[in-house]
Amino acid sequence: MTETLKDRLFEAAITEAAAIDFEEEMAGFEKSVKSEPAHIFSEKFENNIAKMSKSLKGNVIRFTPTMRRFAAAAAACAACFAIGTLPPVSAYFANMFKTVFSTYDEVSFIGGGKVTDISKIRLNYLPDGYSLQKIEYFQNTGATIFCQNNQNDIIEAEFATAGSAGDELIDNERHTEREISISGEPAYFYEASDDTGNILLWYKNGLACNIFAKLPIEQMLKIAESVSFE
Amino acid sequence: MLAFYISIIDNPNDKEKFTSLYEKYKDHMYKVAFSILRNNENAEDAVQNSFLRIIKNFSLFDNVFCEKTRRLIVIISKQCAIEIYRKVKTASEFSENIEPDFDIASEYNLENDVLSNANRERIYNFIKNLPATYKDVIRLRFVEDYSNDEIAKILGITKTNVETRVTRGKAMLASAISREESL
Repeated sequence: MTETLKDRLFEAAITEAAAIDFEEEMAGFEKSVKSEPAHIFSEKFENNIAKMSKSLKGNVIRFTPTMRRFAAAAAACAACFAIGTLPPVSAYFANMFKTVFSTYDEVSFIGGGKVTDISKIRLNYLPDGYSLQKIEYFQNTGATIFCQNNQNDIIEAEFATAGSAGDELIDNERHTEREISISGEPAYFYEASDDTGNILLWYKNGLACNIFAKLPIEQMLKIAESVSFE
Repeated sequence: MLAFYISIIDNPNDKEKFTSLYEKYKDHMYKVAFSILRNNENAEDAVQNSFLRIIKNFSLFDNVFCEKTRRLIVIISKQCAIEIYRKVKTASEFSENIEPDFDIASEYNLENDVLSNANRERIYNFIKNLPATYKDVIRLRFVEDYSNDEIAKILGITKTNVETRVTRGKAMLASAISREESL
């Protein structure tokens, strides 16, 4: 019997045995789920899941004006509280407040300064091959600019007034963070270790800004520096 | 970034699909995680990390209610729980429980008739006792038929790591069978 055939037969045997073993384990879990009372999840857990669920429409969470003022105050309080009591590492970087959790970084934007007219935001530079696809506006508080090339690679630039912008969650297992600057303004650059795409976050003119793209830092910076707000 | 992953999976049905997944499997996931961690808070953290991983791989979840989805969710929950277990326990405790003792030199030193009933039974018994780190990769690869790329994304590890685990898992089984036969 050849090694290849033997290997195939061995894999077939593994597949069969693994399937039976998997079924038995699943049946065990099923029995446990049915026989034991349902777990009551903590409020913190439910809130985090609600945040994920709300974000599933593809955009940051939006607040009413009253909630926006409350959110800014709450974020500032949470920042002070977090520094003293919470185990995750937290830090301010200009108007950005970053908390490092085990699998993701959470960046909040604290409002302040001049608020820009969202409808006037433009990207004045795009890498070769990319073109503007569409701009989506969210009331008067945010805009997302979508660009794409003919390989279907996307550039997504989001802008939202800092008080209304939701937290940004970045997978820190697949991204390495660097503190950089964009035209003198502090910024975070998250470089992907795989083909997920890089992320650039910064604060400007009262806006939380970010760009997602599978592009090197030089190109991402050029795009960010080309943004016009007036 | 969550919003980035969401932007990839965004369509009008995604929120509904996510809510259905959450409602259907959250308790199941918690119990899988708790069976490993034996701690409420850590188990909830594992479930939360599992949902983040599910969102990152949302395209793999075509049908919320099918058996394949249920099995995939159990594997993701288990692996997220193991990751937390690794962080909580000391490395030595963990290696005793999870890391196998196998002889790579005897890799594939099998008798020809690997599909005989006796060998099938043996392989089943060895699979049963294979460490979860290797067993889940073998399940995803051979039972669920995912590619190495997909497995890497599901488990949050590199493709090379997936290949290593498959090779080592197979080597461990072959080695265990050979050892038993030589006795």
